[in-house]
Amino acid sequence: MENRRASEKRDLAIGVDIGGTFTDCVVVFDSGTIITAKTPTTPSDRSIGFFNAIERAAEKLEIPLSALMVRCRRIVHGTTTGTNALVSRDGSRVGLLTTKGHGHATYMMRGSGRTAGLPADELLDISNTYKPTPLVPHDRILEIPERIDADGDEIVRLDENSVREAVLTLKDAGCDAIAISYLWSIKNETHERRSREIAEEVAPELFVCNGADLVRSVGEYERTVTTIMNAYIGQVMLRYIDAIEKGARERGYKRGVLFAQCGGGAMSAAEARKAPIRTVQSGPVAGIVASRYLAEKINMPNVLAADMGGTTFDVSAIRKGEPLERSSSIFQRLELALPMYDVESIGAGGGSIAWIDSSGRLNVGPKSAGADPGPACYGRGEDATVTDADVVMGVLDPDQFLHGRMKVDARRSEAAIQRLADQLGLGLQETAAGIVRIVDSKMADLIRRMSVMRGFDPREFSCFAFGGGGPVHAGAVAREAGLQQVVVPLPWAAALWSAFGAATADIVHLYQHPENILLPNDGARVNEIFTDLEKKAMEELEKEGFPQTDIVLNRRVRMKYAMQVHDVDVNVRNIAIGAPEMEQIERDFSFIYEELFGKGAGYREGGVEITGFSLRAVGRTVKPEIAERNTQYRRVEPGSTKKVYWSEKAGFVDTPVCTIEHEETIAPLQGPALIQLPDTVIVVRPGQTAEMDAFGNILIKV
Amino acid sequence: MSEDIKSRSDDVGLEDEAKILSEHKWDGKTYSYIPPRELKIDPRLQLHEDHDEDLDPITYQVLRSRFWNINLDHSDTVKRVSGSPVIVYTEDFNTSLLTENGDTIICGPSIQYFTGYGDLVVKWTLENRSTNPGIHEGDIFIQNDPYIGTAHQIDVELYMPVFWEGKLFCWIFSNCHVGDIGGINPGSFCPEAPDIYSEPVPMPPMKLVEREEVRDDIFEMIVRQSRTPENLTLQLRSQIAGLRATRTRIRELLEEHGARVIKGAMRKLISDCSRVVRERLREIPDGEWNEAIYMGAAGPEDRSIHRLVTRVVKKGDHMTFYNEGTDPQFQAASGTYGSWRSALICAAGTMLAYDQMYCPAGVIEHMTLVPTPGTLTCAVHPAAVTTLSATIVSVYLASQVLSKMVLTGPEEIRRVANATGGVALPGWWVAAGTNRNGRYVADVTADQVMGSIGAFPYRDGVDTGGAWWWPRSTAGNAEDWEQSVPFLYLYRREQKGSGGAGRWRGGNGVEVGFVPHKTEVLSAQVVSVDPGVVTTIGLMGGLPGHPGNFLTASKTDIWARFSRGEMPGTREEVESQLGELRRISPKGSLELTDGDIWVVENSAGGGFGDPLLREPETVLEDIKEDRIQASQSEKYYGVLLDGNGNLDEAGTKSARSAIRQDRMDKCRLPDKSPVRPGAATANASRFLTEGVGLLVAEEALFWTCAHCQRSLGPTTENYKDYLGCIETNPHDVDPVMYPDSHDFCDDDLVMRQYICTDCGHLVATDIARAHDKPVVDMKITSLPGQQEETITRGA
Repeated sequence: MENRRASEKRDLAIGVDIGGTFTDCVVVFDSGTIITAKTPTTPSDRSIGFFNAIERAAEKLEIPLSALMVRCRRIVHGTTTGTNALVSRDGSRVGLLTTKGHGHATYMMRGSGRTAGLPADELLDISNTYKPTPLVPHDRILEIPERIDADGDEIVRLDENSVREAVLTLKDAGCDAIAISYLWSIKNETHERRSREIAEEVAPELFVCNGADLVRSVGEYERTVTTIMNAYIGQVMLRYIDAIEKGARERGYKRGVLFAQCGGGAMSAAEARKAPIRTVQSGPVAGIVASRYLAEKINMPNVLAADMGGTTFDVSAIRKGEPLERSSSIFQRLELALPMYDVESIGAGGGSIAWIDSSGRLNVGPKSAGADPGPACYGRGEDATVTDADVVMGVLDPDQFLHGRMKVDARRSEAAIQRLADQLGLGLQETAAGIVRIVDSKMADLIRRMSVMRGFDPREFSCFAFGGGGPVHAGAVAREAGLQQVVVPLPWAAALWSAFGAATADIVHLYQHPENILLPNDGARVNEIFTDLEKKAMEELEKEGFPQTDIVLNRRVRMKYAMQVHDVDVNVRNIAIGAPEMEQIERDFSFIYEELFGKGAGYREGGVEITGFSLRAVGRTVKPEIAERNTQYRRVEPGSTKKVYWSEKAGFVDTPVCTIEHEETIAPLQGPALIQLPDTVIVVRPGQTAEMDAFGNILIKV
Repeated sequence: MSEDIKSRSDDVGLEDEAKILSEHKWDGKTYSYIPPRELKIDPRLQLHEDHDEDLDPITYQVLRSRFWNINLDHSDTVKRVSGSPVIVYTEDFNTSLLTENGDTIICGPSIQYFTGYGDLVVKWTLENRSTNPGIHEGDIFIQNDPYIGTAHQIDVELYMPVFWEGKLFCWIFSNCHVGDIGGINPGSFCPEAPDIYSEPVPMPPMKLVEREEVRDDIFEMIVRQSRTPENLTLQLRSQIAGLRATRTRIRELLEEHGARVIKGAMRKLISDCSRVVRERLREIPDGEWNEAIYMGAAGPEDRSIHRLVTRVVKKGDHMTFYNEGTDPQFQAASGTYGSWRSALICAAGTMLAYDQMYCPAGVIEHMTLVPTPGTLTCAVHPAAVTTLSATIVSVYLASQVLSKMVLTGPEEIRRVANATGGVALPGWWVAAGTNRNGRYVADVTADQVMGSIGAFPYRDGVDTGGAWWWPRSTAGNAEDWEQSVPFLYLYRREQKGSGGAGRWRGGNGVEVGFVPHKTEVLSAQVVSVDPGVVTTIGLMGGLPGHPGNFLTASKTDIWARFSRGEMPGTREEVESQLGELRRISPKGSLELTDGDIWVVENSAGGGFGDPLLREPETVLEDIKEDRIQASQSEKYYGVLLDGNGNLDEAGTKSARSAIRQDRMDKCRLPDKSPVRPGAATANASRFLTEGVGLLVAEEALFWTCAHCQRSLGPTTENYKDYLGCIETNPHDVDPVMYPDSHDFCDDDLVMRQYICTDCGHLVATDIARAHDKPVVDMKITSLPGQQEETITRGA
């Protein structure tokens, strides 16, 4: 797909990210020039919005769309189409084939389904706790006689007739997709594969997928859920991908569209058709991809990426240049086993609702007014939100919402907050400042909590603030969480950060192999496993057009102390593995374990084991040159002042406002100050200073 | 302040408590520790008590969230360093923050019946260690003495004073299940222990760390007790790491906000919680509520049934609890006062303060406890306690008795009532054998943690919904267990129809069948009381859930069947293909080899209300969704289906009246005949969802049948005296649902169903020892807001 030799005339990449309200498009030129476009999302057919956004970018560039397409190396798309089908529960009618005796796994949810994904402070209200409704009801779960054991040995052969009958039954029941997930298929795939062949033979029109093709880790509940979700969005995604590919072809784009994936990087449309579930969470993950890319360029190895939108505050960490990963996550209260970049979220965003509880206390979130009805100032809802508080304090300018294209009513914000103020017996500004302080402190709590469980010290990290609300609140949050520096990355792209991440993504294939090996070990089997995985990876990437020189393979083993549960990934060098290398791997493991979990935290006497192998195969794409900028850009000085309420000063202060549109530079600013951007505002709090670095990022010293 | 005085004036248990306190020395030695109202602390230990009375509300909210998160961080640090499956996955631990004088202001969301121990332990330490060896900056205490305050010796507590400006400012506390710490059985659960001397050594509070320095002598002495010393070392280290990290965070808070503000916020957390509990209690009528739960085969040779009782008397905003009527302590099945108390705090906190961030101190202000010593729930030293049987029953009792209490309140209060659900009863089993890697493993399998939630007044329970008092535990996957233990699951499923029948159905439990696999021998050791003695009772007539079962079949031809491609995937298939299963003694131990089958059924939730009131459509949905057996539809619910599986409305109507008539025909008539109350006061009738109603008549309060409004006597009497009763062995009611208690117990166990003799409505369903008197579910003396004089005048 990506082939340098054939791309002389191609000098740009396009990233498109579709959110609930807006579709973002970022065009990145090899030279480093960035053009952005934001258009409304088109929920009935998101592909319309997709092309609208690209067209809008072409308009901004003042070139015809076809010219843009011809010059385009790649289009990478972060889609929420699959996610939306899962959230609104309007995906396929799925049937499940599973091992006899184990058809209840997705109902039992390992006994933790009632509380999975609930905030801890809601757990005690027992009579308000429920399990989520499963995606596949009992009557569409069919148990097949077959059994593999933990070693991959066949205990009971596959009853092919049962499979055939089951597929017909499900077809008759109106299913348009079938998920196949058997116990221990990760150790022996023959039963799942044969079942799939039968299904495809009996009912070729159905979307069929296997557990072991999607997930290679132990745990039938999470694997089955992942398989079901994949089947659930299969048909929707096939249609969507077809529409995007067709549309792109019609507009003169000759190559394959790529899709952002939750494990970081991009995948081909063919992959996305097989494993659409990997597009889930790909938006936030693309934001991390962008952060990592920039962090490397500006030499910041430790970064907390903070994305504040309308509903949630998402934090992820990049440590020593590598984003933290997780092997499972909770989505819509169901547990998925997909390796993905680690994002922690709480319900705190611009739309978070301020309310008073039974004890008369002021609370903010987790409920959000979202985009509709939205904050009170949008004119549709009555609830006071964080955005309303920002408006009342003068931080957000009612005339500057979305480039001034959206009109909001500051009086409605005041009225909503005044209602709370009356109940609390506080002043209007005090209440607004209180709302902001509570939400900021929640976000700071999340950053601190995230760092404790993951074993790092937040003080050693810089905070990348993006999303609509990130630049507004990061200064206060960082100060409270003990961070030293906030970076608003490439301000003109910060509000479209995920689209920027998509445009700069590499092609990534993840290969996993579950196998337990106790240490010490001579390494022969380890060699064999990696050689197999690498062969597969090279074939695949070469097929996608990457020359060997652009392929990077990262080997990893997952290891743990046998009697303890925490497992960690250990990088393995790309050389032949013998006993001495195995000893090195064990030493690396102990080092990483102590670094993460504390000195002496490993129970060595219980033994050390490898529990799985993974290979991350990267096809490197051409990236924009984010170079130091020359000084010809127009320098902007603070143009005006406005009255802003600062809680530090307990009152209004005339605050300088500096407005930047695109590629200007600014002189260092002393807080309090505001830097007005096209889609958001950077808040420099009293006592903080802000300056622009040579790359164009705004740095705030906290 | 005036509110507190009011609360004490409502404390009807004061005199009883004073009497019990004066009769024995409750110092944590022979008798458990009960803290006095005024702690005796060495005056040389200065307490940091200054606090802001008038805290700015925003700062308070910020601090409240901070305390919560600091405590979660504490939990995370313990998990991180420990890495033990029992801590990380099952969350068998808790962390908390306490004020300088030992009031617990915030607990973690992990295991909840630990939340009432911290204050006992810290108060004991203040009273008994402030002089010798003294309490100093940098000290960390360790203790696991159940007579001071922990469930059993395996749950070890480490706690640390935080000093500020030279004064004791607050305490940080953790309580963790540490694994083997000695005693006669591996794993330290000692079902055969005749007394505590055969169990792990109980350690009263001592310093594990002294002025920042870990005491190697003490550390080694403790670790020396364990069969897995490295593991115990790591557990203790994880707790030390958690305390130290948390102290740093508290100091940062003190630096940032000053001691007066922080202490002000701590006190306000308590008073806020207390106010909410007060308001909720005041909406409930004054009266008393009772519950009894039984335990069979409590010791190795035991064939008797033991009774455990809890009673609550509520007046105004205060509750007094009694355990009088509980049978004498018995071998290793006993529990201490601390556990009975902690169970009550856990249940009261969940029902009355579920939105107050787990603040026990605000709940305890409204509680007085009057324990009867020498009983199963207030054992006297040297009773053994490690099996936790009585402790877990205490948790069930607390939930039942408080559920009955809140049921008499208005809807928003009543909704939290919850019939018993399963997890740790009847008990668990340890699987041991040499696995395919040649490693010997012995593990308590966690299938039972799938649990079940009992029914509520307005909704069904939750199938395999975990435990209400253990919110975030997980049972793991079948693959996880097959990877570590040498067995192969035949099936692992929700046990259809195991939840108790009712207007609202109890949650189903989990059933598993195994064969030993790739090992010569798999040994199965059961640590349990007899499930035939049903503990999973319902509310307001709802039937008990399936109480669990341990079963086996020997030398079957299962492997030959496997090779022919046959595999039984349910208990029914196992029995039809391989022969009948036989029950295993709750204290049994088995050696399973090739061809043997091992089946474990775990307890399910109790139902709520008369099953005949369940919407027929809901029953139909239960059948469709595989939640109940088709045969249960007619048997329990009187719901008939036509040939197409649709509802037979006419048939259902007549089946239901036939069942009601049958109940009336079969029941023994009541001792007392109903008194006809005077005319009801307008709008004063109160409906207690599906069971009994409350009628406010001109002259007094009367119970009524919720179905036909017939009077069931004054509310100061037991309505059961005015109801017909059908008494049967539960096993005869449903032989699969309720295993026969006579298999392992000689005493007779009965199910008593109390029936309105006018309409056949099922008002109450009890499980009891045959010769025991009926439990008085509830008595009401006055309604909220009603002056006591009014009632007195009326009566």
